[in-house]
Amino acid sequence: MRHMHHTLRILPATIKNMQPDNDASVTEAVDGSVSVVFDLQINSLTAVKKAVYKFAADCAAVLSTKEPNQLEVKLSFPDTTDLVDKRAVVRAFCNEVIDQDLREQIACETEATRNLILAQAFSKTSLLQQD
Amino acid sequence: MIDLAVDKPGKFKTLENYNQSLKEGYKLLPFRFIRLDEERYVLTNDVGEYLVISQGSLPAFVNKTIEPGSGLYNDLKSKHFLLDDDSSIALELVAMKYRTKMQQVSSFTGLHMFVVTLRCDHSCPYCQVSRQSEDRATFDMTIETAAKCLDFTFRSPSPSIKIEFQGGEPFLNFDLIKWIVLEAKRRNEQHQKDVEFVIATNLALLTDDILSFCLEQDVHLSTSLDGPQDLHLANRPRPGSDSYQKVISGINRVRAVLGPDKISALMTTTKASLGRSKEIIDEYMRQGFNAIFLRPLSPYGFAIKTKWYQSYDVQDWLTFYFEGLDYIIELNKRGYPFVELYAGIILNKMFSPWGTGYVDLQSPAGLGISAILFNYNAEVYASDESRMLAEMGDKQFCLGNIHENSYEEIMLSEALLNPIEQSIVESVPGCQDCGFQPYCGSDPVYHYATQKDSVGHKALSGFCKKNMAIMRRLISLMEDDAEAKKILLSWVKV
Ligand code: SF4
Repeated sequence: MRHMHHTLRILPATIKNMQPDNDASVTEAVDGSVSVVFDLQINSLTAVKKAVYKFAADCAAVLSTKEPNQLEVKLSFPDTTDLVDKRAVVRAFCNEVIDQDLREQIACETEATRNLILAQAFSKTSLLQQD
Repeated sequence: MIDLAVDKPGKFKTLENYNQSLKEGYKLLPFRFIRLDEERYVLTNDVGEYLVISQGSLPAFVNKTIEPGSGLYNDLKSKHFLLDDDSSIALELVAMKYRTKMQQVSSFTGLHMFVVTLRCDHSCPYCQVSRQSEDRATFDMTIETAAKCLDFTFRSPSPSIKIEFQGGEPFLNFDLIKWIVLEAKRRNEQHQKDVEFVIATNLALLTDDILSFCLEQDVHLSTSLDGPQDLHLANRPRPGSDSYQKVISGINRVRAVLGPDKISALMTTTKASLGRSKEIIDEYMRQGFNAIFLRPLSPYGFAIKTKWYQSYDVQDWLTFYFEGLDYIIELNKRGYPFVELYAGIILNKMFSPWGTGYVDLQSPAGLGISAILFNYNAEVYASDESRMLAEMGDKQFCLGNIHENSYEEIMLSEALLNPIEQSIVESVPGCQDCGFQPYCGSDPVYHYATQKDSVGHKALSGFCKKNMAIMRRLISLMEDDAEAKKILLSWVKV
């Protein structure tokens, strides 16, 4: 049976364990899917996508943009997932987005150093600029 | 601002240039991280250093607000996670350590496995490949094939060669083993490599003649012991139901004639083993072993066909493994030195300056690079698991035929190069930024067997789940239990 599309906003008190450490807003639909909305000015699209990839064993995700800079991720769970597990997954998923964002920041800042180390490790001097 | 931009393709600025531009504050060195638990992160870098820090400290570190001179700052600096004005040699040191870790790739194929027969006297239900057959013509390797395999073996640039005889039960074709050992030694007079021989045997057919040959020629033996008598018998049936007595008496005879260090044992975890890790470890201790390799069933061959593989999942195996690991640490604390070898391999990856040669935990994968297998029928495979897959009709990892293909054709075959290229964890989705990457690897054959894709989706991968759980546990143990840390560090060979 297909469920209607109206969503239930879960009161923060009842989803304490589902609430992420960032500002993403979380709602649960009557069909059991959970929607998380990210602000793309805060979290990058790549970070969200990487987190989705990482949670493929726990839930399926559909990404859509509602308003400019608002990315909705609708997470659907296998029927066997109970509420406690679902909350844990949503929370871990949101935290993973934060981690992925941080990883991007680190990769961006350290990429040139990494290239330098690899050049130094494998070619000693031949790749280094002489002047 | 620090300018490290690559000016032209293939050109980098020099270290002096880099250091001069670092005026004050600190700069991040490349690293990855992963959550250890609810409160802590593990940071790792390419040279394999790790550091556990609190959840709040990570953003502070990345945003450069860690106080210079603080304990955390000094830890981050000494483990090469940050660079400041005083760390002028840090980059060279990191580069040198990285090069040392990667040396295994350049030393190339060391392990050469010869499947001298597929015939076996046992009928283990989970066995991947063996046949109960008297048909030597069909299932034994010939001298002509073995001679070609030796030509190939001595083409390896590796200064150390290990020849491992496998089966079936290799003792059923012992004449060929003798020929290969003597011929390899004869050829090695010219090559002067360090050559070792090992026979993987169930020991049931051990004779005095075999023992004296092994003594004369310094051949090691490796056997299978699955645990106490009832478990071993259930896992390894043979006519007469005497596989346990045979292996125990065999172990004792080998020790008496060849010496205590010439025999090692391997176990396989079946559903019947679950919940019995302590008994299995006790059995190993009772038989005088000081180490065990707690191994799961592989998803290949008859194990899959007979549904043995599906009989338990990774989580069941992890529960079994951690019960065993806890027990081993407990034994050590009580004064009985004993090692769990898989943990030992990971710990060596963490703490030894050298990479380990363990095929499954290498990047790129050890396929062909670290090990190669010559099947009884002259086919060449990239690993033991690849030929098991082939026995089930899937020759994805068959690299060629020793009579029909040259060394170059085999080592440069697509069947080998593609999975190797795809297995470099530094570029695999999921692994790319995983904090455990420096200690992990990829197992293309496992992922192909389970997902029909040699890279595999790591979120769905039993290999990933297993390794992640074990690495988390080992690091947590070292952080939270000083005595356990001492024990685990004693398993590292420096
Ligand atoms: S297989 Fe899993 S644990 Fe290993 S590096 Fe990849 S993601 Fe990390």
